[in-house]
Amino acid sequence: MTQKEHLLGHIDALYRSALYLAKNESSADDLVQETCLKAFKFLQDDKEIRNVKAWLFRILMNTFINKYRKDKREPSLVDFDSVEAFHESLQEEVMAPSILDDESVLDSLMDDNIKGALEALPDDFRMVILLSIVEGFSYKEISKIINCPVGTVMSRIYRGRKMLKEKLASHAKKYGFGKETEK
Amino acid sequence: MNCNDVRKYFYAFLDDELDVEKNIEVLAHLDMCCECSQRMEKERLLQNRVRETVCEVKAPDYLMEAILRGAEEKSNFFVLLVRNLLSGRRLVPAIGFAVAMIMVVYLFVIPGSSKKDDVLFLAESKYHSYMMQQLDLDIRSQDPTAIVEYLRGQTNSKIVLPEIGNDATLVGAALSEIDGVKVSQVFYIRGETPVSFMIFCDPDSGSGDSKNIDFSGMKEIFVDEKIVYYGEGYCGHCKIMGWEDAGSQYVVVSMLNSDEILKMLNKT
Repeated sequence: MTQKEHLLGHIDALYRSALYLAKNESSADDLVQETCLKAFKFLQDDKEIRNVKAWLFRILMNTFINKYRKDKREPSLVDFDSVEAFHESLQEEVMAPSILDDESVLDSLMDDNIKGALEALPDDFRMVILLSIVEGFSYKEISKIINCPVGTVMSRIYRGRKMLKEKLASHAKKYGFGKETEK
Repeated sequence: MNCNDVRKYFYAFLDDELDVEKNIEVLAHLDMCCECSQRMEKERLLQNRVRETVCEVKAPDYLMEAILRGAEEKSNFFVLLVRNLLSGRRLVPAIGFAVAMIMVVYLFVIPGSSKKDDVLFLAESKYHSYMMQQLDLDIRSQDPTAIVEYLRGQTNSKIVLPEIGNDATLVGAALSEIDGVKVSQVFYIRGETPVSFMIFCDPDSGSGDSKNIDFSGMKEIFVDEKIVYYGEGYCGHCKIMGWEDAGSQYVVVSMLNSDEILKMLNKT
């Protein structure tokens, strides 16, 4: 298997992340294409890549930030989602009973509900959720991919999940699921 | 570890980010706490549900082909350039650029190449780049007799062209008026340097058109047994040279490459 083929083995993963990041197919096409061409160009120099998938995602995220994100600010080392904020928020009710605790509600959630909830997350949070929950990268890998300290990654993953649950819960309520649970 | 402690490590546990020790502690708690383990299970289910939804998306077939095609074309700079130029919003500037190039070729390159051997064209272009104005000739000719005839007709006085070296080519002549006097101005090109001088007839020669030339305040030097007057001259920006051979006329060397024309006159 050539390096190119090896690289293209990750095309589905790149595409699904690109689609959820850019939120439309033509931009996702462009993103993946640009990512792969950048990667090919790099491979021409015969450099050895250790973690190809993480490396590809790093290119993808950088391309996305440079090309599509309106707010291009550099991720700051100390920002609103700092480690302190993360630990404070941990004191909140992590496991507050939610409408989503009802399994029937979870089952009745449509793919579109999940897609909508994911797409409604701010870019920074959507990125880490995709990288961790969907692609299974470790916190350390994610911190390298998006060039952020591990603490920030943890905080974003935690808060992203919370936001996602809130959005799904509001969907569920809107469509009248789980009324029994509320009673 | 109590329920609150476990909750702190919940997501880290789910994401397999806990160290072995903490992992065992959480596992031990989940083993005995039904509530926590149920919640953990639901959290895991939700996570799986999200993963499944996103993973349903597959890259379209054409994308792989487009990438491979793109990678092949990447090496061909010209194809990439043309494609870039022709794509959407770049089309208008590309057409504009093409039109501009065609106009440049028609206006400059084609006339330039057809005229580049022409002495007159060379003289005009060099004169233009030196003086930043058009060379406005009344007569264009390389024949000294024709020039002399023309100037005689216009100034009503006999004009003798000074002898100059063979390396200068006659281009033409023009008449200009300085202080109400018609002055004959003759143009040459020497190599690629345009030069010109003016010819005044001595008032004593009886042409009636000329005026006395004021040599006062000018430096008189001898070059090859000829008297040369240097300094601010008749029209304010000329060097004046008394020309022995020419008898009753004065040759006024204009400041346009005056050193060159002095060399030309001295060579004879």
